[in-house]
Amino acid sequence: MAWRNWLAYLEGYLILTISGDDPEGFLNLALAQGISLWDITRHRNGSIQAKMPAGKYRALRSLARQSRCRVRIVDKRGWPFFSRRLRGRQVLLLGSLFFLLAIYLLSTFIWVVDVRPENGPLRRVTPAQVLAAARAEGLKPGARKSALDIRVLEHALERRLPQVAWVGIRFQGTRAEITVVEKAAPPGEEASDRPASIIAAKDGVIKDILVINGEGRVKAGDTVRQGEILISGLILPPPPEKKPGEAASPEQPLSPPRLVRARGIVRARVWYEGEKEINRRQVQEVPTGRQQTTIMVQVPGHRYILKGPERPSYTNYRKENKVVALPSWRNFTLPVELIITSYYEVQVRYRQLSYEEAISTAGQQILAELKEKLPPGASITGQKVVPLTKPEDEIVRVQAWVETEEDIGQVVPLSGNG
Amino acid sequence: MGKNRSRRSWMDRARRLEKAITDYLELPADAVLDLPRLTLVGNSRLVVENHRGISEYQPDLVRLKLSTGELEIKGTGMLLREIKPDAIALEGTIQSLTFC
Repeated sequence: MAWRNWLAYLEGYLILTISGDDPEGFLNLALAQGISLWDITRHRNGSIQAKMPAGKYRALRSLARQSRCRVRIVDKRGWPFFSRRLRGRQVLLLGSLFFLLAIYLLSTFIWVVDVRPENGPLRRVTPAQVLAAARAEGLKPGARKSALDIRVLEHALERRLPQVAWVGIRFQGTRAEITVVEKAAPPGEEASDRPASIIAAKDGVIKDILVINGEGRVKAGDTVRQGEILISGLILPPPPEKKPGEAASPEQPLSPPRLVRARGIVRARVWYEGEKEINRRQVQEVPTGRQQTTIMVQVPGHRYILKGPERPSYTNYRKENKVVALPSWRNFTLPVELIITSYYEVQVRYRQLSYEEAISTAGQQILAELKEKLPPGASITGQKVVPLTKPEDEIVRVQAWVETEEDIGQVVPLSGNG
Repeated sequence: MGKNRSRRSWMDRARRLEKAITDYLELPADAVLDLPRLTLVGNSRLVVENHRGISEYQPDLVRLKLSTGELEIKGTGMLLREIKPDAIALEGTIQSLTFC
């Protein structure tokens, strides 16, 4: 219908009122002439209002005469009439054209420049720095979009900002969005030649120490605490040897201590300790294989069940929800979600563990937990589980140790007295 | 008068023959027999194709001429949305259709 209305509007149409004894006769005559009419309504006073295409205007007079009706044109609508009226008001036409042109022209400029960090807040550059660099390269509010080459700009910005690994520029309408990825410093890279010491990262007993550079301060078998210096970057000069020939020589000035970057491997035995408590009465959930599925549609404030029960008929069950949302567009998320809930029936079983079983179960659990936390490169050399509770207690508590051998050295820059 | 009656019976016979042939060949009746085709959408819209004109139009009563007589439509607030030489679309609340 809308399409028809548009056609009628383009063609132009007349609104008629037909009054007289036999308005239906007029309609029939019009039909016989092949003129289609539409939106025909009857007034209280008996006259009929109808619309007809403006092109058939010439036939109107003879139709009116033949049907002996009085036909009056109430209104002329549509593009032909509208444009005729517009022709008398050219400034209006000019104004609207100017408006469209202005909108178009203004949309070819950048009005806002934004900086968006790609991951996490920016640490090494400030958004203001990025904006200043962009401004210097020509990307600023008021710049023409067509004059900016995104690829060139991105490269120029990357060159201007050495702290930045990648720059992406995107235009969204009149908004330019600069996406920045900062260079991540590789660990330990900063000042790879600065003097540094190696300290103990954790408590342990030194197994062996290999000094490549620096001065070893510990030896195998020593117990060290966290933070103790293992290999110092500060090398004190050897005490001057007294040569027999130079008795009573003038005191030589002590050569200043040498500062180096300590390098070496310090392996130590380290213990990890943990405690675990378990109940000897164990609850187990065994799936029976039976399941039910409920499909629901969620709209704000309401849920409609499409299929399946509202509540599962099982006494014990495990529930899994799957939410299917419609794809969102920009900031607008459709508030309709499909929720598929699966209920799996389970059978609850209780089992009473014996004291030994409980201890070994708890021990295995705590050992597994400890081993999970071990740093890579640590080799396990021993483990031990000690029960802390008596056999008659319902709750069993164990303590466990894991002994490892690992490199505990940690490089710290030398500051002040190392 | 007698002549008129014989003519009418001749017309009836021709029409019956036509219907028999249409039935036998399974042709659509509205195309061959010049019958109106009515499309009713709920009680709110009626499209009559192959009509013969309008004999009366009031908001609560519309009578259309058909090849087989007249169709009387009763309802409230009816308006002729569109009339074309071959079809009429009527909108409003339709209460009854009567063929007479």
